[in-house]
Amino acid sequence: MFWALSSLRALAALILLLLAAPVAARTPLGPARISVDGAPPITRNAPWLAPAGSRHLRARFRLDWDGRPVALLLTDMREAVTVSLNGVPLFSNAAGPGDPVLGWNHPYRITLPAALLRPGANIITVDVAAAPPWALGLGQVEAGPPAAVEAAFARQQFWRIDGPRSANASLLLLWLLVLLLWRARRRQPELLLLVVVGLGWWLRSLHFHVTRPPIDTGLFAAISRESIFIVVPVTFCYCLEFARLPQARRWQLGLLAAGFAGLVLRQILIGLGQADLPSALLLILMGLGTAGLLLWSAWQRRGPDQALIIAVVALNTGFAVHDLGRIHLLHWWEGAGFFFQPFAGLSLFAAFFISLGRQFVAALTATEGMNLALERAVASARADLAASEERRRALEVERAIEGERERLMREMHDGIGANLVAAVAVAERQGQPPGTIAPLRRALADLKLTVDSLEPVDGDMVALLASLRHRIASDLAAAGIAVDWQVAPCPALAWLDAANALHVLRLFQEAISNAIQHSGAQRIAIGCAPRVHQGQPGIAAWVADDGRGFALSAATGRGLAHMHGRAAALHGQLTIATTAGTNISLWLPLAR
Amino acid sequence: MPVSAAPIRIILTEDDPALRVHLGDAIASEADMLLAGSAANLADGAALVARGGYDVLLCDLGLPDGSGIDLIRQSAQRWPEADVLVVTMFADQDKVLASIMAGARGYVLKGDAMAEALAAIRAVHAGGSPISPTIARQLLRRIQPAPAQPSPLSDRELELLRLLARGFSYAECAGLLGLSAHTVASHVKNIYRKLEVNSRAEALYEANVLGLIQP
Repeated sequence: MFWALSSLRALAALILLLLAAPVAARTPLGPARISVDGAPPITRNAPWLAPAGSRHLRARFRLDWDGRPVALLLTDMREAVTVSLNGVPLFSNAAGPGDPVLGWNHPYRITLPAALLRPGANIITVDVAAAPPWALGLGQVEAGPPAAVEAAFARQQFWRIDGPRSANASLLLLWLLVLLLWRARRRQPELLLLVVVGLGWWLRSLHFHVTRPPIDTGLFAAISRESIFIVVPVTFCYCLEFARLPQARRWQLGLLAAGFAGLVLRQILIGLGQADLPSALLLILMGLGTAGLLLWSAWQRRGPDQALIIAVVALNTGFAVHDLGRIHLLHWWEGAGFFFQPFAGLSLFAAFFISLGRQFVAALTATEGMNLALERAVASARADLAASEERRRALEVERAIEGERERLMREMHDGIGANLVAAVAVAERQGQPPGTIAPLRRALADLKLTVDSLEPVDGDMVALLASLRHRIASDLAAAGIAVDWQVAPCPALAWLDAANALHVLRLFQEAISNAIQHSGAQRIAIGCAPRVHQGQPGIAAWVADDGRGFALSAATGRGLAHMHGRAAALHGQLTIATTAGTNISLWLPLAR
Repeated sequence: MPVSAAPIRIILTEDDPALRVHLGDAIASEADMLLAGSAANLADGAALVARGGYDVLLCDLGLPDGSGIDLIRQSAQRWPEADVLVVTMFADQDKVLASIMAGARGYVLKGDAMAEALAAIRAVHAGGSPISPTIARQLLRRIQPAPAQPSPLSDRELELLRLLARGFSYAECAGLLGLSAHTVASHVKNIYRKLEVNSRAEALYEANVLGLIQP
């Protein structure tokens, strides 16, 4: 929006600068004695439009000469013009009589030779000829010092001819680009609309600067005059298309219908010899309506940025009002002294082109962003897939271990276990000595401990000690030893798998069986609690009896060596104290 | 043991001949127990159960002609007043749990001293049930996964299960909870009964859903 405003401001400043060129020191000649097609002369002020169907007019102006150099500036002569001074032909824009030259928008400057000038009254004769369907009309004749006339001429030449010609050439260039764009992107119908708009404006603007049309005069005149009723609606149709107006089709049909109505209306008005004011007003109304619709749509925040288009449509609607007041038949005002319309095509088309370009840039940026997001999504999906594959593999391994564990347990249960149980039963029934039965029972107890270690405890030391207690409860009861159960809730040891669990179970089994066999204790404390060892979090588990301190006796030497070995395998710390009874404490790290 | 009381009538299903004879002899030699019958396979065991007239069924699971679980279920449905003890090697969790859901009220460990098996029989007949920390743990795990549903166990029973899972004995639990040891044992039996009822309700629900049962 800001960008559009600032560019408009710069354009306005440029126009003001060019408009402020010196216009003083020239005086319009007139009134003139005008004779149309040989009829008796009438006195009229220029500009003046001859009745429809007239072919030739001769106008006589009186010029009073004060002896200083003087030049003439002719504008709006429709169409072929010949200027004579005191009967001597000085200038003609036509190659000869009947030359269908188009001179209506061209300024002409003629320096009057002092040799032909008479002090006092001089006669300037202006012969104007027009071939139907072009209208015949007499424009302004101004006189002034050659320098002032030259300056005015240069300004008029720029704004009427050179400017429109450059603008039309630029329009053609932009149009070619859009044409190529449309060929590459046929799926965008608004591009075709833009192609039509550009070509339409180019054709419409030709008659502002072309003197000899390359095609049939009648066709060229029709294109020049009537194309506006197609070009303007199509232009506004494109605006609505670009703005993505809701129900754009309905509005577009309305615009095209209004254009057609304007065309028909103009034919009727011309036929009646009336000024085509209503049809011109219709075009202006269409411009105002379109600008209003675009503003409304921008207010609703729909569609792309249309600030530039709205500004240019509004500006050109203002220009249309200006131009309307300048037409011969109305002549409400002289205005800027030239028509703005030749610049309408380029300004509108350039605005569309820029808006389209910005839209493309935005689309490209969005695509880049989308690609980036897509790449990220793909990378994340790939990582997820890899992670899930990893999990699946881990699960497979886990399941395999689980299956193998079950198979082992079943084997031990149904095979070794059943045979041991049968052996104990037979031995007891046959009254075998305790020396026979005890090893069998020990073997069975060992087997049970191994099976217990396979039981998943999720690293819970309390659960492991609990199952151990359950196994040895009857042995302790038989030995008459009371248990002081001291387990506190402990954090899980993630590394405590079956192999490590068996180390823990065997270590404490050894400790407890030592207590039963050698200590003569009355009580035994078994427990565990969280404990920090050398700054490292972990768990301490212990077995403490109130016996006589067996630990250093020779009988338990080998058992103690085994316990130390198991503690080392567990990455733990084994402490054996024998001050009051025996206290065997195993510290295990939380993480290893 | 008061001699005046009626003896505990026991039937036994065990395929290992040495153990069957050993257990049978041990029971027969007790004054307060009566071996009402013994079977070596599922078919004979089913006949014994159908005949009825027993207080305690001792049942092995791995029978040559089928699973002892079926026998436990038959007994629990036909004679709900009779107690079932599963005879197992290691009190391994899956089998004991399945037995309890089928209607067993405890277990006897193979290879333990006979005195302990006899004590278990007397305890279950007196209204209590044995439990191991591993089974208590497993029961807690079975109960916990559906927090939205009301637990079938009371808060007191859950608290007891947690203590048992941490290795506390009945006597220690009784002290911690302010109960008698006998009450703790009967709590455990109640927990087993609730688990059985619950699992039967689940099975019924699933059977209904599957269309196996016509209303």
